[in-house]
Amino acid sequence: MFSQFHARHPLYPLIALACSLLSLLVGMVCAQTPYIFAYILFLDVLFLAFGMGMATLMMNLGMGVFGIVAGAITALINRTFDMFWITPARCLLIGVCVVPLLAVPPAMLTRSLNQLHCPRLITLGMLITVRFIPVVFGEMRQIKDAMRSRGIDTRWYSPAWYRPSNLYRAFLVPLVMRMVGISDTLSLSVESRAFDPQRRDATVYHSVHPTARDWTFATLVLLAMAALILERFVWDLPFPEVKL
Amino acid sequence: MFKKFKVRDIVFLAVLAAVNTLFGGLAMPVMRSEIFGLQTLVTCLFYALFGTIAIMKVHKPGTLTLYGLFIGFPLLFMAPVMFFNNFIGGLIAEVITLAIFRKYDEGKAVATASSLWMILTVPLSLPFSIWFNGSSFEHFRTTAAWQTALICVGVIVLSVVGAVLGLKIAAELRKAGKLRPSEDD
Repeated sequence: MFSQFHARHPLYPLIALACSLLSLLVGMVCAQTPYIFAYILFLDVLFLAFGMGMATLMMNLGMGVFGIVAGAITALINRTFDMFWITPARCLLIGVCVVPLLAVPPAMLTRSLNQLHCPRLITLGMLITVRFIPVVFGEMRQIKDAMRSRGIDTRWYSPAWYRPSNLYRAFLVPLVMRMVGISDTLSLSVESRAFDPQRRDATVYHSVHPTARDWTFATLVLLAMAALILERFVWDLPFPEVKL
Repeated sequence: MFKKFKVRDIVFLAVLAAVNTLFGGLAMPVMRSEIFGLQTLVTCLFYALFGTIAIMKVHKPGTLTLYGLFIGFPLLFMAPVMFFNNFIGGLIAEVITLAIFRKYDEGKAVATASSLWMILTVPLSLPFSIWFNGSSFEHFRTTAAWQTALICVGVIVLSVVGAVLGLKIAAELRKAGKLRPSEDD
């Protein structure tokens, strides 16, 4: 999942997680200032410089368009465009702040959690959840195909698809049965590969450690956050008016 | 009271969490809606349903918390605040349910836990909504009070319906010998 967004040289996962959460938190708290766009731009440039170009571009594009549409609808409902910029800014912020996490493969996050002696059952569960989303999606598609072969119209606008009896008997029950089957096979497979949940000292094949590059990234994000907090609560700089 | 989780318990919870995450995608079109709790209203039926099935299979204290953690993990990469919403909601719902029923032996304990989980995510999403939509607490208290009340009632009803459906599916699968509780293994 999201493999197209993964950076070639990902950041240390826990630093990426902390930066992502803190930058979002600080951004949301200080979102009322127009300088939020400078903060977003700085984060964009930083992420591009650290090799997260694909994720940065896609999130900016997606959330930017989404934010403008949502902001326009809100402005039309409120009949004023005075604070129109706040909605796109918040949407962009959410999109940009998840970039460091999107660029990290989930396996790296679980590896670093393993190194920190996080219970292995928890890291196993996290990894399975992420890895199995496409598998489950494929299973759902197969169940839908099976429904179609039995004469149920499964197009999204078809009323037959939303009929409770069809949804319950022909979709939910087979889906749960299939999941029980998959989980039984998978747990047998995990156990037969000598997975021992009690052994916390198990070897991590590819160990992950923070480097100077990661600390530089964290420092720059912290500086951006500090500047935004100071602008919002201490300096309160006037925003230059744009005259057309 | 507390029992160790086996590998097969965790694998089942994780696979079901993947299913639940896909159903959570139903909330995507209303993610930016300013109507408080609408996102929960759209998904609560399926979350309560799969939450019930998860506890019916893994009858152990801590199941719902772990389930919330696994559901929250993919969300961590998309909307980090939602991770805490699901995880903390599951934890609080589990504590309340176990304080009342002590264990998950009865169907009503299972249904209470899974429906309470979804109901609790509504107040837990208040700070999220304030940050995300830029609304204030006053907005929920005054302007949209009737809307908020209606959504909360909807969430309660749909969560209970989801939990009851989950119990029904679990009972059917158990009768067919497909969903044995993990303690019986």
